[in-house]
Amino acid sequence: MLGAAVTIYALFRGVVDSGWTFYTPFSTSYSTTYITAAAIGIFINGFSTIMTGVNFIATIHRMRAPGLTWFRLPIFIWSMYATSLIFVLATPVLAITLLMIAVERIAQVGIFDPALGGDPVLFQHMFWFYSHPAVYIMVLPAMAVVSEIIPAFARKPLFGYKAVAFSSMGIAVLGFLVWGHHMFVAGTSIYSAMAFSLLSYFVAIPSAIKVFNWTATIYKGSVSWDTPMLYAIGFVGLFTIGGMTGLFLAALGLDVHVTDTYFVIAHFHYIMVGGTVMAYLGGVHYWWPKISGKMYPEGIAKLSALTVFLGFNLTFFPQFVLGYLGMPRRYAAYPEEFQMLNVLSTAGASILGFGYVMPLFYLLWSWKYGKEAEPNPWRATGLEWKTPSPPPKHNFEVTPTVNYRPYDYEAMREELGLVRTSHS
Amino acid sequence: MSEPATLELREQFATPEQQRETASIGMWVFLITEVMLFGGLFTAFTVYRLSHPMAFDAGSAHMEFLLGGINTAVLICSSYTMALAIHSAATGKEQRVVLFLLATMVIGAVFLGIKFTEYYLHFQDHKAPALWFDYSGPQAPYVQMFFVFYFLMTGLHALHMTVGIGILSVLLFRTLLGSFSAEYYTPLELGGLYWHFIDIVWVFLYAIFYIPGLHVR
Amino acid sequence: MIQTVQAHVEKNYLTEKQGVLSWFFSTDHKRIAILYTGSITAFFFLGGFFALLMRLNLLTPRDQLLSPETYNKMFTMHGIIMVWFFLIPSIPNTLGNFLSRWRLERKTWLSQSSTCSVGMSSCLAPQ
Repeated sequence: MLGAAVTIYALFRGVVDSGWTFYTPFSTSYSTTYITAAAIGIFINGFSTIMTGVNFIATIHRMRAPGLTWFRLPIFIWSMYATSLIFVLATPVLAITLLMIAVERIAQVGIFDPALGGDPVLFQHMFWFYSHPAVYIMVLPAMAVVSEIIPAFARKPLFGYKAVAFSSMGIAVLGFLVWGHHMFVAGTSIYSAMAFSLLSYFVAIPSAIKVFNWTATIYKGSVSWDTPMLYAIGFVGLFTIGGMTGLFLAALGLDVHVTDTYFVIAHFHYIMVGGTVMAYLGGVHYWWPKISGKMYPEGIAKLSALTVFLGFNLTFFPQFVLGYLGMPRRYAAYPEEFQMLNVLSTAGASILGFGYVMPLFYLLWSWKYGKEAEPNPWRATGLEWKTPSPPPKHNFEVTPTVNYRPYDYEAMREELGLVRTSHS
Repeated sequence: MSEPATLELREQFATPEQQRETASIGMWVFLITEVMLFGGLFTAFTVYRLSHPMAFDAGSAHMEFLLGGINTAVLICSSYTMALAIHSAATGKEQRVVLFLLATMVIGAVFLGIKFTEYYLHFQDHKAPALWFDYSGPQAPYVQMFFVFYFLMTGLHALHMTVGIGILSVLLFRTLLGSFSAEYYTPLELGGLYWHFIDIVWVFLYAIFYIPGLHVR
Repeated sequence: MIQTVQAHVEKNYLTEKQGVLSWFFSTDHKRIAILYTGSITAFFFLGGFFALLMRLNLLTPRDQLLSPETYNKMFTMHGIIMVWFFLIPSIPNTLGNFLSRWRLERKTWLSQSSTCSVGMSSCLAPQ
């Protein structure tokens, strides 16, 4: 927040215009906006991120409840652990890169300025070395949430727990090896481009494993379509589209055509918004009874989930087409023939915005006026459901001992009060 | 006879051992982030050095080799006194802890003093980028780049040293208050880890900035 | 039959201690998670506001709503806010904090929140 405060300060004083990627030499030599303030703001924010990562890692290694071995950890924790590894290894590189930008602007020393001996492409290497893992920071926790929601609403253990756990770690590791795919047209060697392209294909594999596992979890499960499940299924579909278009971008020949167009924008919004934001909303709804002690109104919630899904697709699908047809990103104006698709996209954006505002209202409403929630309204496994909703300050009166496999819905059937329905 | 200080078991820990180990892991992970932080600068420096080796060697020739060498010895001494401080804590000799912590801080301050002297000498020599840089030899922009990195990296290091001295003063204060004993001296251990890390970073800095210039003289 | 009526007082992390300050200085990871949720939601809508302006500008082929320089600022701020102040903290700091308890929880939100007012007041400084 301190970092955010400094950045907001930059915002009010006249904003930044370099693009969130701060490419040099514009950000260092030519931009007249408050780049330094923004860079420092994000730098400070980075401290918080790093501390969060250190926190998670130390806690997961040493502070688990008795009986919680590594392979009994909820998948949520595995993904958070992988995320924390990225936090800890990648964020300092961003910090130092932003520091160098700030120093270059303040002291006019030209670290990335060719006239003074520097190399602007070095900035891109350093920036993307952090920022590619950063996008995995954004998506791994979302996958974690989905991995919790789907077993709960399919009443089945997560298919391939170890595969999903190791895939999370795989994404974290491979994510550090692919930063060059943001620089295919930056003038780097064709051989390095080929290597990064191949590695980018590899990094898709663990994500695909997870998608298959989620699908397999639902297969022959006893599925209930509550709001969190709607968001989770939405995630799986939209993330798959986003991920596959990522593979299109990893192909060198195609990337030359669509790089820096709306195709890229659509790709990452499918993952960030269609993925992460939907998973976040799903998680909020899923754990809402635990957090607030109240249930949200299911009808409206389903409606807003649908609104978000439809609005999202209407906003971003036309952007794939726009990008393929050649509309560049970050342009305020465009040729006449692109207008129809842009209008569709804007219409979708308004619907999407409306879909986001709805939960704000009904969730806050339910905090005060909603129905009281019981400790385990979804009949899910997981330690958190053993506490009352909302939990007391000390969480558990007695530290629980874990002696069962995670997601053991069969064994816990009686305890959870699940009714066995017969399937033919 | 007062009781030896023990670890205050914080709410979320089951045993003191667990609390100690967690703190230790936390510190090691933090040091890894510091490695990545300095690593970014080392990488950028390496990239530029590989593309302009002559200019960087020329830059290195202008370094104050003797002062740099003395500083390295000074810092290694301070690591030694820090290790002695930890050892004294482990064996329960609290007065020695105070003595060695003070010694470490003083030696650290000497390091900083010599460092700033070097900066001043560079400034007088017109080798301070952004303030006063004058180089008439070939490839001047790249020699300037060398000095940019020199000031940036040693400056970041000096900042970490200053913070380290601050941390040591807090530890000193707590030792005087009697917060530590042979059973519990974890903060001292963690402070020691940090101090040793800063020392190691300096050794690498010395290697990349001062030593290449030797063969050019 | 004597029936004793018990006043059932629910003691949970929400009712534990009241007052704004008790929330800001709380060491309870669940309260901290809620604080984070509030701030990231605010940032989400701020970033979304910039997105809305961009999309409105893109309704017409020529820049009728925003100048190109302003548009540049819009997409930059949208990106910075969404990436660093919403997406990255979103799940780890809210749901993550709520569901697990951490060692350093006290230090993260507190160090951030206490300087927020300083930061904001600097906005009012004359240009």
